[in-house]
Amino acid sequence: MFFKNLFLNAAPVTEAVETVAETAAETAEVLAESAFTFEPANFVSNLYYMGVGMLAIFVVIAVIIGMVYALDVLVKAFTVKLPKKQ
Amino acid sequence: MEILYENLLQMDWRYLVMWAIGGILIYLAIKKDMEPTLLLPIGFGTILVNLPNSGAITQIHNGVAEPGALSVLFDAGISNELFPLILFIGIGAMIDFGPLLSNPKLMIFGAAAQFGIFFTLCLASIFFDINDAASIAIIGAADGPTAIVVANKLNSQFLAPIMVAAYSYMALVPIIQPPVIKLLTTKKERQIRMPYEAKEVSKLTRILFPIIITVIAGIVAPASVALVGFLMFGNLIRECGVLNSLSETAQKVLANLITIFLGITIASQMSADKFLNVNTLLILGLGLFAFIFDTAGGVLFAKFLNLFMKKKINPMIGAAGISAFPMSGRIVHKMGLEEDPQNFLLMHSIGVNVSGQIASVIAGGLILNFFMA
Repeated sequence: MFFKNLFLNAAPVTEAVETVAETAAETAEVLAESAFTFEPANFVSNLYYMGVGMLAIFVVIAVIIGMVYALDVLVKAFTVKLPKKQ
Repeated sequence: MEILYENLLQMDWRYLVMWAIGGILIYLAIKKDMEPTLLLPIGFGTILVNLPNSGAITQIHNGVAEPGALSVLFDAGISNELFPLILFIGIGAMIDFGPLLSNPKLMIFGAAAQFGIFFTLCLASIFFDINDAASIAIIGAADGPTAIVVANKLNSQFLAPIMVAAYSYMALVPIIQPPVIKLLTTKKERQIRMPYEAKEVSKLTRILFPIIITVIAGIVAPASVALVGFLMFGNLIRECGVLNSLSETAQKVLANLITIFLGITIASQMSADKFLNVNTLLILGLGLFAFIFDTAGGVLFAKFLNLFMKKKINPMIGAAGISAFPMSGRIVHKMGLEEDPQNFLLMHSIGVNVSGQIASVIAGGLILNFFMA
């Protein structure tokens, strides 16, 4: 609307004022829609996920490390060294 | 005559702001060389979808939906996570797990560097519902495809800002990480040398590794098995030795093709009404926070280990435990050289960096396990 008025340059002053007011209202609406919550208590209650999550990652990675070492040992143990071709 | 300017009359100040954002992304891609493969398509797409009545995205006219190409691509490739998963095949084919397999202990830093994700989850839950908070936290993984998959599966309403933040911060690794590392380490610590003992890794180990990782990750976090599986499938193609042409295709053609579609399709979510709000700023801030705390988590964990170890670790390598591969590993190596020109940390930092790739996918899977209905 605002651009329309600018482009046509024909709207009466009162209409232009109304348009500006409408634009301001639209902007306020956008900001109101995006209002977020503020619940500090959620931080504490979700620390559980941080603890369990970090623990789980360390456990999984530790298992993977163990598997890689085991794999290395097994591969070395079962690799038969072939005699070099003359 | 009116038909010529009818669309111009639909202009809104928000479109102009989005054009400016698109322009900044294109500028960063071209002038600053920051993740140009993604930021350029996203930047151009942002302008494309923020034209009044843009035919690139689905528009409703008289109650009838007229499908736009980008919206169709979004439904076909992102809302079902297909593009990020296929991209993971290419990424897997690009990764050499050799440095990690020759020193598996390094993987522990990949785990430590996921701290920022979980800490940010707690912080973001103050402002957002838990599914959105978890999706925002995963930005800290510095892993675009994982961020897309997690945000999609958790039905986050903030997919667009999350994707943009994830890819932008990946590009900003050289700017974000060094100050955090310097803040948390002393000059003496940064000068710790870590001689690299090259160790041969058998072909069998290289082949079995992706299979084992898939099985373990699949058992622990079944929701992430597609992510891990596609990544490891790509790596298996690379390591098996009999599919060289497929490996090359996955690394180059496939990855490039998907990247083109991914970038421009992400932009379909960058419409002004979805993007321009206070939440976006908050998400960008929380994403940066996650990134910083991931870096800090890795560095502090290395410092903690040094309290007990005879042979000290350069704590900077802990910072490479994020998924931004290989930028983060290279940054650490470069910082090591700046402190001591004879200190070559590259093999260690790259090893930690690839472990960060695996750990971030597992972190994504765990988050899905926690919160997916």
